[in-house]
Amino acid sequence: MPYQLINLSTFFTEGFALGLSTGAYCLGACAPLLVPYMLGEGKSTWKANGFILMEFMAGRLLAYILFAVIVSFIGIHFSNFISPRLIRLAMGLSGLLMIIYAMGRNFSQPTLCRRALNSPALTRFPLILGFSIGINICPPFAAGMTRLIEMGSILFGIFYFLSFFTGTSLYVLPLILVTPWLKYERLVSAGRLCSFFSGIWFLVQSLR
Amino acid sequence: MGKIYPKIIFGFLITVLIGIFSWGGWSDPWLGAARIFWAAFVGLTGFLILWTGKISRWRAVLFIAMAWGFMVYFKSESLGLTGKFFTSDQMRESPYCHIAMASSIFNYLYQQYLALKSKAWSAWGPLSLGFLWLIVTLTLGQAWCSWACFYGGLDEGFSRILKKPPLKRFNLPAKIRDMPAAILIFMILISFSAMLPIFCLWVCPLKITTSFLDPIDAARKAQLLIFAVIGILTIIALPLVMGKRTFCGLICPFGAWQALFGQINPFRVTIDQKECSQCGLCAQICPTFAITQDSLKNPRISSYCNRCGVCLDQCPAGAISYTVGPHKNFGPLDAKILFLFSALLVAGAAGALFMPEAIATLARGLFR
Repeated sequence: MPYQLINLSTFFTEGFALGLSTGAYCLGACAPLLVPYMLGEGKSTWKANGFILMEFMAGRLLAYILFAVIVSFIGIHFSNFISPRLIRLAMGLSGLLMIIYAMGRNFSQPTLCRRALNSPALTRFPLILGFSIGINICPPFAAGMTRLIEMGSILFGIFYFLSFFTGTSLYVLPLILVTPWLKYERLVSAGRLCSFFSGIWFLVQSLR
Repeated sequence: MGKIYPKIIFGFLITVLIGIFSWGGWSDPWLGAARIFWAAFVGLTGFLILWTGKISRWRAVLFIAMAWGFMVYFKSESLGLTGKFFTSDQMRESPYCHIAMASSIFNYLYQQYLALKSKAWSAWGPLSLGFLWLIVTLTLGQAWCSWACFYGGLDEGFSRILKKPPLKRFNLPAKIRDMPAAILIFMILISFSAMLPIFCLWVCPLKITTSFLDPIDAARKAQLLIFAVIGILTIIALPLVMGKRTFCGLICPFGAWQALFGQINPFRVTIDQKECSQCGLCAQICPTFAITQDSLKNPRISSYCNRCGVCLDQCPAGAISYTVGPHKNFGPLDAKILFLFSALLVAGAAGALFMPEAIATLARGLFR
């Protein structure tokens, strides 16, 4: 087997193992955003919710790949500088998005939030939400980042984060199991209210 | 009022059953007497409900007494053991609340697995609590919140102080009633995410009945401030001016939990469509916002109903009743009698865990 291919499979396995071992953390970060959104917006069909979930996951994947490319370019020193700021930004952005969503859905008064929610910029809301939480540099993500810098290769880095994403996704995918509950109107209403609390929580976390 | 003997037998039967359940000997005469007193008190409540036909009035006496008794029991235990009003450590004991458990669910599952494997029965805390919850849910369902919960009597007590609360007729938007469900979902997700019992640490003012954490740093001070604001607002001020149980109806996530799982319990409060005059009085007086003008059109009471009996007592047409499913009778038995028997037994048994101690503590303080 060519040397490059052995390395590729090693990195893939390593990334996947890191994702598997730390996926619960990712679930903890994603669930408070994704579950209220799915409850509030999802339909009681697997297809509709599967689409929301896939969009969210695509947002995360996009953030991971973008991050892998950027970190491979800028190196460890600069990434150490931007990491803490990026965490706050990611948390704040996620919180703000959820508040806009919650205000737009729960109240008829704040037309600004309603307009924002219907604007072309937010038409792919789950994708943006996935991206905003994806750029949040959690401890497992930071561990992956260090390894990425050691590798010094953009291609390997992308593979590494792709496999990391696959490993963590195994924890996030079961969130689609909320689907059968969505036929209850009260739960949909509760999900929309809950998204407001989630928004506040993430916003407060970003300010700490 | 009918014949009095069946009502006396009903009350006596409850007294005997609660007495047997709570019995623990005469080694401490104060406690022994308090156990008998408690059993008799629950039995008397049952008798008075049937004798006067006023369900909620006598239920409230029992319910409010339980909440204050719980506080006396816990506070005296805590002060007696530590001599301090505040708890200085993080919560180390098994949380008895599902919200708190969400943060350490994996630890609990593993701990319980080990307890089962090693037959360490004493370590069965969460399992035993889970089993008790199942029994309570099967026998009472959502009615736990108005009959046996040891916190609910606090806001119920304040909601009954004013005869004519100024905001009694204030109608909340229907979706606000889903707030406890939203808080439940959020708290479970966040507790799991942060691996901390966030509701206990940051929101639940009912720690007033147990103990708060030492306000030693800024975060703890902020927690205490939040507890105080939520507590004063939802347990004292809003119940006073609205005459409603605002903490139980708009905040308590356990209420939402029971509303969901309580559906497995067969007891319901049902409005008879033929007899209902659509006067809307029940919607105005329901203390937990479970009946709205809209729900009267069907007419249907929401799953948040606590079976407290306020609407049954007040309905001028007598159109509201306890039922088993949609039926007023369960075989030869009256659904109302069956429900009251079940509710008083569970309330009496739950209260037996702390009320005799609380009564004995108060009696010792008064008479010694």
